[in-house]
Amino acid sequence: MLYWGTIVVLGGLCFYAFLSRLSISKKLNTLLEEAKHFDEQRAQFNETFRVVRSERHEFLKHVSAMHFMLENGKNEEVKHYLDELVEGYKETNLSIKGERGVVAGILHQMYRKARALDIAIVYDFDLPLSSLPLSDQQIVTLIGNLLSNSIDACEEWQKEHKSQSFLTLQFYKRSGLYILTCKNSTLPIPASILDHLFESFGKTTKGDGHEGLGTKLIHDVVDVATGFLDFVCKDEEFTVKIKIPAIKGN
Amino acid sequence: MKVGLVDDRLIDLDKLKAIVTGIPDIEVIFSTLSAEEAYEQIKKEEIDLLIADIEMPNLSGYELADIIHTHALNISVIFVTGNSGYAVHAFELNVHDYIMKPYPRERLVQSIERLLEKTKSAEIHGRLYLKQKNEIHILQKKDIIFIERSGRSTTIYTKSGPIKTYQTLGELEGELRERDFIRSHRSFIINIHYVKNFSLYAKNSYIVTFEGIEEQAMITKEKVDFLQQNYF
Repeated sequence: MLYWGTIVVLGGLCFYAFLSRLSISKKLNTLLEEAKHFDEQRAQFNETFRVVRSERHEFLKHVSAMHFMLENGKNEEVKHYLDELVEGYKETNLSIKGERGVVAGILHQMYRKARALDIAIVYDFDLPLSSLPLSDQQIVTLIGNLLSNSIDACEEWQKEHKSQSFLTLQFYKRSGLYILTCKNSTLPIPASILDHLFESFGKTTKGDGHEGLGTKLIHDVVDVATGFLDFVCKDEEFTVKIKIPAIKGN
Repeated sequence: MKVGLVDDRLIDLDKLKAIVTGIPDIEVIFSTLSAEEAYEQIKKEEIDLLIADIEMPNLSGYELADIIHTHALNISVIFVTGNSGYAVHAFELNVHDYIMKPYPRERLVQSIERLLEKTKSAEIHGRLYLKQKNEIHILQKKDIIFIERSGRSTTIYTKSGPIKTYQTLGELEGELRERDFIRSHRSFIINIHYVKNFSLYAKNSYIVTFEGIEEQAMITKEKVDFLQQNYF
C-alpha cells in the first residue's frame, strides 16, 4: 500500500515538475524573444541616429554645392539637386517627427525595409506615436511587431501577384481614445489561423523558425493598456485596429 | 465629404475627378484648371478637402494650402504633384498627404478613405427643450458637453456655460437618444465628442476631462470598455 502511495506521490511530483518546466520554458522563450527584439531595436536606433547625424553632417556641403551651382547660373541642376536632397530628408522626417528616439528608430527602419522591398508604405500620424500612454518598450513591441508582420505579408503578396503591395499605418485621437490602424495587402489567411490570431502562441502563417509570437505580444501590450484590438481580413487586405484609452498618470 | 479639385493640366484633373467621383460619400463641389477660381471657392469654405497640384501658374497649390493654414480653415489638403521639391513646405503646413505623380488609383483612394475614417462624425442635430418654472430654455444638442446630477438638481454644461434644471438624468437620457451621448455613470451623461482624457479615480472608475472646460465627469470602467468596443 505504502509502495503504491509513494509511486502516486512521486508520479504527482514528476507531473508537477514537468508542468513547471513547461511554463518556465515558455517564459524563457518569451524573454529570449524580447531580448532579441531589444538587440534589434538598439541596432535600429543607432542606425537612425547615424542617418540623422550624417544628414546634419552633409548639410553645409550641400548648401555650398548649391551655392556654387547658383553662382554659375546652373539653375536647372540646382533644382534637380534639391529635389533629390529633399526626397531623402522627407523619408527621415516622416519617422522622426515629434517621436522619441527608440520609436523613431523602429519607424525609420521599417520604412526603409518596406521601401527596399518596393512596398508602398504610408505613415499617417495626427500626433506622434510616442504620445501613447505606454512605455517606450511597449510602443516598440507594438509597432515593431505590427509593421514587421505587415511587411512580411506584403512581401509574400508581391511574390504571388508580381505587383506592388501597400502598407499604411494611421494614428489619431478621438474622444479620449488613441486609434491605431495598420492596413496591408495579404494573401488569404486560413480560418484555422485567423481564429486564434492575437490570442495564442504557436499559430503562424510563416514558415519554419517562426512561432507566431508577434501577434500575442501585440495583444499583451494592448491588454496592459486596457485597450481593444480588432482585425478584419477581407479581399486580400488585412486591417488591425487598436484603440487605447488616453489614461493620464499611467 | 465635400471635395474641391484643382490642377492646371486637364489630363491630370480628369484623372483626379474620375478617381474621386468613384468613392462613396464624396461629393465634388468644384473641379477647376484655375488656381484663382479654386481660391475663390476656398474662401466660401464649402469644402472639407482640397486636392491640389502644386505647380500652377499665378497661384501655386502651396499658396492655397498656406491660405487655408493661416486662416485656420477647416479644410484638409492633399497635394498631388510631379515635383518632390515642395515636400519640405508640406511638412510645415501639415497637409494630410503628399502624392507623387504618376500615382496608382489606389494610392489616392486610400488616402481619402483614411481621411474619411478620421473625420467621420455624425453631426448631432436637433435641440433640447428645458422646461423651467416660467420659461423654456432651448439648447442645441451638439453644444452639450456633459450633464451632472447632484442632489436634487441637474447641471447641463454647455459650450456657453452651465444651465441648471430639475429634470432627472433619466428624463434627459430619454431626450438625448443620439449615439454620441452615453450614460457614463450613475450621476453623469457625457457627449463623447468633447472627451479629452481619462484619469484613474478608483479601481473601476475614471475621471473624464473635456476639451474647452475645466469641470470633470466620471465614467465607469465598464463604459470605457463599451466606448472602445462600439465606437470608431
